[in-house]
Amino acid sequence: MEIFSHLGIGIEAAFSFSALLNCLIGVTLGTFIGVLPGVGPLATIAILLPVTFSHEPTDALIMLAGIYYGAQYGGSTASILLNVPGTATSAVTCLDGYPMAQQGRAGVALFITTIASFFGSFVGVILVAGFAPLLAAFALQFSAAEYFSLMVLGLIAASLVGRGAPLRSVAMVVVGLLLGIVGIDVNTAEFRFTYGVMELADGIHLVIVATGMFGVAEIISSLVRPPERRVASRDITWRSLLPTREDMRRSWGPMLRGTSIGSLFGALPGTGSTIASFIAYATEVKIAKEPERFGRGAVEGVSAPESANNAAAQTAFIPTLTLGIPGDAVMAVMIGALMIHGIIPGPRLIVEQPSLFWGLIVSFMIGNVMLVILNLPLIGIWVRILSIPYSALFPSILVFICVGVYSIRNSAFDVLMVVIFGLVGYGLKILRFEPAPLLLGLVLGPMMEENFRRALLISRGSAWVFVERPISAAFLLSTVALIAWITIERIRGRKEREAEA
Amino acid sequence: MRIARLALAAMAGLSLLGGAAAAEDYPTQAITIVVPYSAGGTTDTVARIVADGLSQELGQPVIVENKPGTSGIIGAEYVARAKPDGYTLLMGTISTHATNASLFGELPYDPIKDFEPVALAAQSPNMLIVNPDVPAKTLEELVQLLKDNPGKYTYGSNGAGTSQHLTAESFKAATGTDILHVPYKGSGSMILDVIAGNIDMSFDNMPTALAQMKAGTVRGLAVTSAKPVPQAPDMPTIATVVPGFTSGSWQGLFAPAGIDEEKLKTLVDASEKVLAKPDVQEKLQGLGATAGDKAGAEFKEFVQSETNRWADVIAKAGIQKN
Repeated sequence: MEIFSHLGIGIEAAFSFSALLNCLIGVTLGTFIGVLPGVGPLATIAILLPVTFSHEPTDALIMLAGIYYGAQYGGSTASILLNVPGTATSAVTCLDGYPMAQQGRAGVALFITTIASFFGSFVGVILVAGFAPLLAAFALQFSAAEYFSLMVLGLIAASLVGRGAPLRSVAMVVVGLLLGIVGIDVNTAEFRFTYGVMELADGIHLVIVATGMFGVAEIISSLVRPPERRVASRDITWRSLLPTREDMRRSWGPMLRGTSIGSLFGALPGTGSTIASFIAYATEVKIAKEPERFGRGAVEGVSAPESANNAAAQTAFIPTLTLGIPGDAVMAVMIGALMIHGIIPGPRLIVEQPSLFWGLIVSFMIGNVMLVILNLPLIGIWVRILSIPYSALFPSILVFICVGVYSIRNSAFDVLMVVIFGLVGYGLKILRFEPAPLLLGLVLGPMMEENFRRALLISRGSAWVFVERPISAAFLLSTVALIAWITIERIRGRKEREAEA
Repeated sequence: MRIARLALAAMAGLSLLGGAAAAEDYPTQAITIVVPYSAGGTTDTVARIVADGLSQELGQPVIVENKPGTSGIIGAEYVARAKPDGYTLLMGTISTHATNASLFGELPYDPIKDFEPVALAAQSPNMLIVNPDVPAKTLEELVQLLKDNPGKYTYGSNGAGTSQHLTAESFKAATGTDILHVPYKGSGSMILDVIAGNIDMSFDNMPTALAQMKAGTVRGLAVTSAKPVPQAPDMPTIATVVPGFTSGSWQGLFAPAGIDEEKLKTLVDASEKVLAKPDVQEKLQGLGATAGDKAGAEFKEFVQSETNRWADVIAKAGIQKN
């Protein structure tokens, strides 16, 4: 078996003292910056880049990668405890994670998150180890038309995310799509909806909207109507942190589906873990027997997206390492890190640098085990945050939000935007509009537009390109089938209700 | 706006009076290099390599601060308005100091008047790559192919108005060919589309293009620099077929206008020393760049000539101002 000799090379590289130390530093740092709202892996990795100049390239990459996937573990902590997404990829975890915390089940949510994250990551790593070239070849089949059709499917499938009325959800998706238009148009470099404000020219950052609409809005509404009872610190026992057998039984399916969805999206350059987590959540809502449980603390709503974003964080290394093409901005920085060391990632990296590639894979496995060992005891500490009276807690949350958002672009304007989105979010909350579909529109909208226009540009304006290409056609067909299915369900549901009445 | 400028000039004058005595022992505190792009991009990495070297040379920490946004305008404007005390510098680029002036109707800063050029930090040529199925094996064949098939072939860029887009437009103008522009948001998905054959060619960043070429996924035809590059010594320059054609992006260190001459000299000397160091040159080469070889007045001339030249390309390509 070739794979074992490869893993042997990797084990040799990843079990050296310096590699283990770098892995530990990376994942620990990743967990903490993941917890802090706004402060993301991108800025952290870029700032630490010069520190790695003096490292061995493998060690440098092990540490930087550790920050990246470690942040996916930490990202959900603030989502669950405070309704403030720690990273964009865990915004969707707020939907059920925070209600779980309000029901006194924060420990369980964090525990499930850790397990789901580990599961997603580990499967992701195995896919990278075993099937990287295959998945990379699959990714090459995707042109602009396929991306667009996949996004259409994703948008339709997920537009009913959340518990609100479908029409309200659709309205929020549209608002999200409109917000996504703000900024310089890629094709013409024309300013759109910026109204002369230079700071808007690069668009509205997802983290700002997510932090404002979930985090700041939550703070406002908590202050208007204080939660009845905070968790008392003596109530926190180990038992209360552990998921019940029922929780675990409910979570396996979502973890498996979330991992599959996450692995697919991660391997496609340019889509990324945020979309994966949304789609995974939406899938669970769609196939659930009791969809009304979602948004009220359903454990599936935590395990699916967390498996998905972690799996995606691992498979995102596939295009990077096998094709030399960065799937997202963080991966671009990592490629930069390698280039400074004179290693240029490309299709021949696995052959030319086997100890780098396999060392990295084995370090992912080690890193994920470290993350579980690190995160499980931390749950006890995080949960204690909830025993702090809210009046004492919220100023620090606000400070963290401001610092985090400021750190994205070192821009005070962005801090102002968070406040505005917080107020808007609070207003929408009163009107019972859900913020999640808006975020989805904001994430998918710009990508859909970009790929739609590119597909048409390349096809010289022929819209047939979307159905002529088989993968694209399959996505569109699935979309039609999904719409038909939902419509039939609705009509049947109405008839049943009428019959009962 | 005008009042602000005047106030700024007055402030600059005052700080000149006060700064004369202090100039001898400059720098006495940390220097900040503002990068007008996100952390992790080429400009950011170049700035961090230079900052690392400068802090060793000047004996003070040199910090990189990212102020990204709108083709570098936000960061450049910030430095243009900063106190010219030598403690706030800008890692300017071909965008902030050459092309923006022609691409945007009204810039909130003047690339020439608001800055004092310190040193060219790095220059990065692009490499013309084509999908292996494109039936042109050499640059001559490609130009002929494009002339025979106007509008049939496509090229990718990482956005309208970027140096890749302008390089291609300038190539089209110089060769009299017509290639369809397909813009992308980042160069990652663009090179993937060249490999997959969804688009035919691009003027891509050297390191990635070179790695793909070595793996046989794309065919490299030429580089845009004036001389062949050390990373690919056998690759011809475009100038061998299109006389006089050079292009590529660059980064350079700028101080706000009004900086004390002594301080400027300190910075220019230190930058020259840093950029001559073999380890710095090696790191920049890893990024596909060559270390800058122009400082002070020479760099100033370079900036002016780049501004004029791209204004010409942009006007000829009919790219509208915003």
